[in-house]
Amino acid sequence: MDHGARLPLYVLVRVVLVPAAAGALAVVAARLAAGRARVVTRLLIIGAALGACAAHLGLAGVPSLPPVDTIEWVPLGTAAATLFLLPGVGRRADLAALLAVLAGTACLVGKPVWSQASAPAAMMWIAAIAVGGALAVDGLRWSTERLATAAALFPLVATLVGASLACAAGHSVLVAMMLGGIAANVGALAVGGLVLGARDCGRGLLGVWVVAGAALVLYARLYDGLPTSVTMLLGASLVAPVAVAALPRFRGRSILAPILAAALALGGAAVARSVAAEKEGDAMVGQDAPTSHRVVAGDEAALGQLEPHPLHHVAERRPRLGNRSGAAAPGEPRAQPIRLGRR
Amino acid sequence: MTVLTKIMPLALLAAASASAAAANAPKAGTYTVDAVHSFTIFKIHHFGAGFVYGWFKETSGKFVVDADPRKSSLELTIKADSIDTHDAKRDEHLKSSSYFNAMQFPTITFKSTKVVPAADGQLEVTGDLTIRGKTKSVTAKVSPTGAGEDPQMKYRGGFEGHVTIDRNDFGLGFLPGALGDNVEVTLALEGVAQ
Repeated sequence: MDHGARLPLYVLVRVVLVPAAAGALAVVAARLAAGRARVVTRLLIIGAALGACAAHLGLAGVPSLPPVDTIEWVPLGTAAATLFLLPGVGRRADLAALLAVLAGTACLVGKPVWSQASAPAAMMWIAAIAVGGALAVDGLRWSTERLATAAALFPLVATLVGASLACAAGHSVLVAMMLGGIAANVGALAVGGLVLGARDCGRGLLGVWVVAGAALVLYARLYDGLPTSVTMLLGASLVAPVAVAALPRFRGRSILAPILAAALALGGAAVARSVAAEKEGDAMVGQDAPTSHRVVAGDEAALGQLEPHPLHHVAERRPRLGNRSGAAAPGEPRAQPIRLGRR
Repeated sequence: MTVLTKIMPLALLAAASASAAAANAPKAGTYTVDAVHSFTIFKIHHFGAGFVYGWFKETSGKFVVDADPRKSSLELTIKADSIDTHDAKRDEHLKSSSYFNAMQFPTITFKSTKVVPAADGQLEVTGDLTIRGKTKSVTAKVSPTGAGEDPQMKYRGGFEGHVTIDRNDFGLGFLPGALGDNVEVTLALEGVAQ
């Protein structure tokens, strides 16, 4: 069996083709249903949900019930967002549903960390994530009313790709591929919508993406050491279209708006890639303690060189998370590594 | 006659070795795993070509040796983030959510549920292996490796076990083309009698 040839195909199909196909099919179906606004909206929401979930299921498998690993809450949160936002019963009800799903997903994805942080700190983080996600959704929705839809979505695609590259270089390849899958899905819906004219970009569609993306980013941040700069960049990609839309000269469908947004996106992706390369460099230099795993593990000597864990200040106020220390206690012999093989 | 003279010394040597090994089997008692002299080593096929070897630097636990092997037991705790495969980048990848997710699941545990004597003085140790929060029953072939006293007059006993697990059973199935499904694990344990 040629294992080497099978791997690129695995990545291409599960990360790009399946999520993109889900989005493309939704756009085609929406085009065929043109004139029935509610049906179009729902078809696009389903396409987004299928794409985001396909990326997860294809790479991490079907989640166990109840989930064991908190990453398994991501597709369940996405499914919940779809379930609650699909009917589109009203603006306030949709907002309440979005906030509830965002808070619930953030709570469950970060549960091992929240349970060891103080209750007010955990609630503050969860509330911030929920409110931030809801603001992002409404900001993007507002910007799509003033700009071409693509101007709002392309920066998101590019920064998702940038974050995916950063995660890949930062060793969390699974999260990287999942973010790539969401990017492929958003891209397919953005391009397809541009070509076929199925451009509904409401709270439901954006909500599904933001729930899936925010849950993954939170997971990567808590358990995979996603750099702060990349997280900030992802946030900026949501704010950039709003900023462009707020400028008077870009109102209407000025051709400059998507160009400016695309430039922001490309710049963002480049920054994310350079951050990832820097992180990789750190890993190469610090052979024994290259990432936040070791930082949380209590290897205090590495703190001066490495980026702290996202909740490090929380960790400092509470006992260490379990007995995960990689360092030997004072007086305790430390096992010496034996070099056993070479890749 | 010629054949007998050739075979006899070998047979005697084999018999002597077997009896020496049997005589050196750890005596009954409870042993604490000596982390410094115990090793959890694994190997896995890489792209269908060579094998990648690695080990977990921190293994702890205890085992009970009983005159009736069925009453013997073994409990092990292995720190997931102590994995070492001779490449820092690969180790970080293995610790990440792609594989062991060591931040969320810091330990790998094994707890025996049944010990059965097998041929040649071996034991078949069946137990619950938990990796990344997923538990599955596995059976390891375990052999005594010897026993003796150290300079501090502490009685030590050793065992070596082998088990093959399917990584997909434990949520470690990411990138199926890059790595083989089966992981061969060797447990080389040395315990100090309590």
